[in-house]
This record gives sequence, structure tokens and C-alpha cells, in this order.
Amino acid sequence: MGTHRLRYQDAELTVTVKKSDGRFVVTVDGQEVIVTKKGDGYVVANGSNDSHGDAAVSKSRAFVTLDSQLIEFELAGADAVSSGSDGGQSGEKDKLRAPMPGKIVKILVENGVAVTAKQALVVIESMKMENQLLSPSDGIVKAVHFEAGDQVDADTVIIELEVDEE
Amino acid sequence: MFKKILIANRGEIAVRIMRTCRVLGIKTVAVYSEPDANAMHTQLADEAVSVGEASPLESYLVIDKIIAAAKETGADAIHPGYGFLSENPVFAETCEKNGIVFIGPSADSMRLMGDKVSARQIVTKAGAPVAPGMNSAGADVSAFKKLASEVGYPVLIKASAGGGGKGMRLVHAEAELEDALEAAQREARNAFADDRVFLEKFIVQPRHIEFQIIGDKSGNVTHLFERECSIQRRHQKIIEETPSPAVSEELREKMGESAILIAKAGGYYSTGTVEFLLDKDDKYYFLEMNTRLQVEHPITELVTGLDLVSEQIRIAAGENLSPEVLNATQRGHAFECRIYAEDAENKFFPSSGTLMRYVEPCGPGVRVDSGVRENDIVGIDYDPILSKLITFGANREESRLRMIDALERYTILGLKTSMHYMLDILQKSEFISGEIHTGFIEEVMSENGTETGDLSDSKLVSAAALAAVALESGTRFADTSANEDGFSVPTPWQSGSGWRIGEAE
Repeated sequence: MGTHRLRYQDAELTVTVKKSDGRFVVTVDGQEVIVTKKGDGYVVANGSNDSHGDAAVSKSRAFVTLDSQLIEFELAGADAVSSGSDGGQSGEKDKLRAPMPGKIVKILVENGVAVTAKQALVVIESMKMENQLLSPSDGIVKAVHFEAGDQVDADTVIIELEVDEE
Repeated sequence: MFKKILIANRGEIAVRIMRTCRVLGIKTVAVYSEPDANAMHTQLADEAVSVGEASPLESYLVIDKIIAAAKETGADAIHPGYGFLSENPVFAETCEKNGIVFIGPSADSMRLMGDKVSARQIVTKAGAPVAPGMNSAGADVSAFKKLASEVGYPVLIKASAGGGGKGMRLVHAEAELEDALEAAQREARNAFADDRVFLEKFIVQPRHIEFQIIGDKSGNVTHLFERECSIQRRHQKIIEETPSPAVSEELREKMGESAILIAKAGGYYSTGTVEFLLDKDDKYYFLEMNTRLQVEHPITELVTGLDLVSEQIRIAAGENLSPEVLNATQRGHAFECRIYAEDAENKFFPSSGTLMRYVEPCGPGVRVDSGVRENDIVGIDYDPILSKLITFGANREESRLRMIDALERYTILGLKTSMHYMLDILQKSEFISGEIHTGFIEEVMSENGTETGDLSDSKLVSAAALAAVALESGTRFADTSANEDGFSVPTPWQSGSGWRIGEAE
């Protein structure tokens, strides 16, 4: 089975999973943990500690509950699926859209600049919190439709990119 | 009896009311806003009527739309739930004018008891205790100063209208009084278009003890014991219990009698709640009356065995209080935890997202009143309550342990909830011994919620292992799903372009 990379705050963890005898033998940065399906969720045996939990994953994140504490990881490496690559709904690699209504705090790039995938392009404020919007792919900025201070609706295209389609 | 009831609400309370209707053989009509088109309450009803856009001002709060929906479907009564139109006397009157029975008290009772100054007057006249203070609203600074020195500082200046802490000012000394009075008036004017304020002695470290009242249209009124709701965060109740560890049999009888007096003085029928503050010397003071079904009514149902919604419906249909209500007794102990979609690690901001995994706990003495299911999208248009977790036990400790176990077995993945914070509260020694008061959260807990730093390395490793196992299992939820259903409710993780929380400069 596979190797996965997960980010939690500043830490990046490398995790490998092997299945044997109906259990999962999982190695997290060299530390071995046994995960067993039990009832509605899983039991994680880590040294002398047993904890109970469950997990679900979206295309960009993993949500874990462990002894009722919630822990969220960001997926890195091959697991981080962009919405375009597996038949997702929008599949646009050349447009950065506002994921929720909000106010543009800062535009971090200008027309004609080359950007890389996941590079921060825009800072937006929604629900009283500032968040970065990251580039959907490598490319060159073709158009910037808004400036700092503008209000945008969900799904509005903020930046368009010139993307080299293979 | 009614043939069809329209429920003018959403979420867990709409679902809970429909369940009782089903048992009584009454058909149900749901109303829903655009984002609620596939919500649990919409699907559970026999019929459902769309009432407009996401904003409550365009949908759940529009009286004409609700009445039109009732007429269109032939509903003969409307249950308002709590919140929204439940305490709006104009709504109650409009229902009656259209020949539809409003399941709740009369519009007159709502008006009398909903205004804090008129409620104080009624309570004083009835001979029940109120905190020392003014029995009419005033604006004259010297009158406020005179009374404040008579009752003794600290004092509270309160708005006569509305609630939620708006137009409220705590004053510790005379020098602060004038500014506080002006500020309270300004705030009250802005919030309720009504700048009437009054002064009351501030009760230090009180417990919040409320009595469930129930009355019929023939004037019979009784109480169904108390609920203690002292665990509050910014005037918002989060954990409730009954019986209260602070209320003796003798005190219960006294407070219950006061509550009945107050309800009778207000000409009250249906279910309602009389709230009191209880100080350290067992003195209690009327706080306010809520003229609706309370969020926390299930704990009363568990210790009395009654279905309060069923009783409300019977009373609205003109029946007198049943012998079961009149002879009700209190048995065992019940707790309720309100499960909110909010981030306890980040100032309790509302949290939204898809419920990727949602498994409710069950077992002896465990009840879950919820309005959501797995795969539902939780937006930010409405109150963030997802469900209420209620436990029952032979005694307080058994009920508390069942609550802890139920919270630990309640799986909600895809958004943040306050469950971990609740577990912290339930395990504090002050809580275990029942030594609680309305300042408990400020004194014992961290005001901003759980500290983020308390995730140990070993826990992080275990969590990462689980995340990786879930990745192997193959099911991947979409980051976007709202828009294809015409939803206007975006979630932070629906952006395929790499939305990352908390990473702004």
C-alpha cells in the first residue's frame, strides 16, 4: 500500500500504510502504529495508548477525530488532488475564483507575472477572517479583475491565468 | 384535533416537532429556504413549501409567506418552534385572523411578558420576587443615581425591549453611571428602536434557574420543575441540567409557586419558561419570561416522561391539562449539551462544511435531537446549532458519565464543533461537584476556547495514521458540492484552487 504526506501547522509528516491480518500497520515518521477497524470507527494503538477515532478525506484535506478531538491535515504530494484532475465540478486551471463572498484585502501579483501552483495570489477576508487564495496551477497572470477593497461574491473570477496545456 | 400542522422553523426543532405530529397522526408541512431544499426537516414533512432565499428576512421571518404556505396546504395550525417568529405577537394575531391556530400563548401574554419593564410590574404585583430596582423605565440621571445608592452597587442598566445582552451595562460605581446610562440608551435605540432602560441591582455570581410552566386555556397553570442553565458563554446557554444541584425540595416548592403566580398574572397558556437568578443565600429574583418552547425542553421531558410538544398541541386544540401533567413527578437526572458548528479553538467562530462522517451516539439514557445527516452541507446562514445531545441517568453522576461517553462516541467530521470543549467542562472538579454559577466559563475555562497547543506528539502521530488509513480506503469527498444544487452557501473547503484557512499574512 502507499506512502502519504500530511501537513499539520508547520510540520510535514510522512506516513506509510501496510495492511496485514485485517489491521493496518502504519509508520509515521519512523514510528509504528497499529490501526484496527472497530465498531463505527477505528482503534489506534500507539505505544501503550489506545485511542478511538475516525477519519474522512476531501480532495485537499483530511479530517480526523481522535478521542473526540478534531485534527485537520492538509494533504501534500500525490494525494493533494486539484478539483480539475479527477472529473471534479469546475476543473478550471486557468481561473482563480472566490470560494466564498468576501472582501479583497490584497492582490499579491500583477499582470504578466509567472506564478507556480499553490502560490498565494490573493488575500481575501470572509467571516471576519483573512485567508489566502492559492494559484490553481503554474502559469502567467493574464488578467486581474479586482483590486484591494473590492467586495466579491462566491465563485467570482478574480484572476485569470495563461496556462500551458499539455 | 388538528389534521395538518405547518412548522414555521428549520433544523433540529422542526424535525423534533414533526416526530410528535407523526405519533399523533397529524400531517405536517415544512417551509424551507433555498439552501434548505434538501434539508432533513424539508424531507421529513408530508409536504414542503418553498418560502424564499437564504436570508431569514427573505424566508423564515416573512409572516405573509408563512401564512400563504399554510393556506395553500390547508394547514389548520402553525407551530413556530423557537427563535424566528415564535415570540412575535403580530404573527400570532395574523394566524388567528386567518383562521389558523397558533400553537403557543396569546399575543397579549407575549406582549405583557416580552417587555422587561411591564413583566417586572406584573411580577411585583403578583407578589413574586424581582431584583431591587425600577418598576418603570426612566431617563433621569439623578433618579438612577438615587436608586443605585439605595440598592447598592454594582447595578445593572438594562433595556426594556429585546435581549441578548444588548443595551445592558454593568455599573460598579456612581462615577460610571451617567456614561453607562447614555451608552445603554444608545445601544437599545439602535438595536430595538426603543431606548427605554431601567436599573436593577446586579446579583453577584448567581445561578440561572428556570421553571417550566404549562397552562391551558381554562386558566389552569402548573410547573414541571426547574432547569439549571448556569453554564453559559456570553449569555448563551451551552449545558443544561435538571434537577438543579442547588435547589432543595423546599426551595423548589417556593420557586415553583412563584413561577405559577407569574404565569397566571400574565394570563399565560401553552408552555413557557420563567427564569430566575438564584444567589448564594438561596434568594431568587425574577429575570424574564420566555413565551415559547425552550431549546432545553428535552431535559424536562426526560425527568417527567412527558412530550411537551404533544401537550402544546393539545392545549392549542382547546384541551385542558391532562392528569399526567397535573400529577407529574421528577425522576432521575438529565443533561443537555448543545452541539454547535463552531470553532472552539478559534474564538467560537461559526464553522461550515460538509458532514463527511456523521454518526450519532446511542445507548441507555441517550437521546439526540438533530436536524442534520451525513453528507449534509452546513452553511452559515442560520444559528449554528446542529443538534442537542441529551442524557438521562438514575442520578447526576450516571447522567454525566453517559454524557461524556456519548460525546466521545459522537462522530462529526468535516466541520468544527464545540464537543471537545463540552468534554472539558464536564470533567472540571467544580462542575462535578455542582458548584456552578453563570460566571463559570469566565472563571474556570479559557474564554477563547480550547487552547490549540494541547495536541501531544503522540496524538498527532495517531491522528496522522488514521488520516492515512482513510486515504487508503479510497473515498474522497469533493471540496465543492454546493453550487450544483443552486446553493448560495459556500464552505471554506469547497475551493478546488487551494483555500487554506488561517494562512493570510
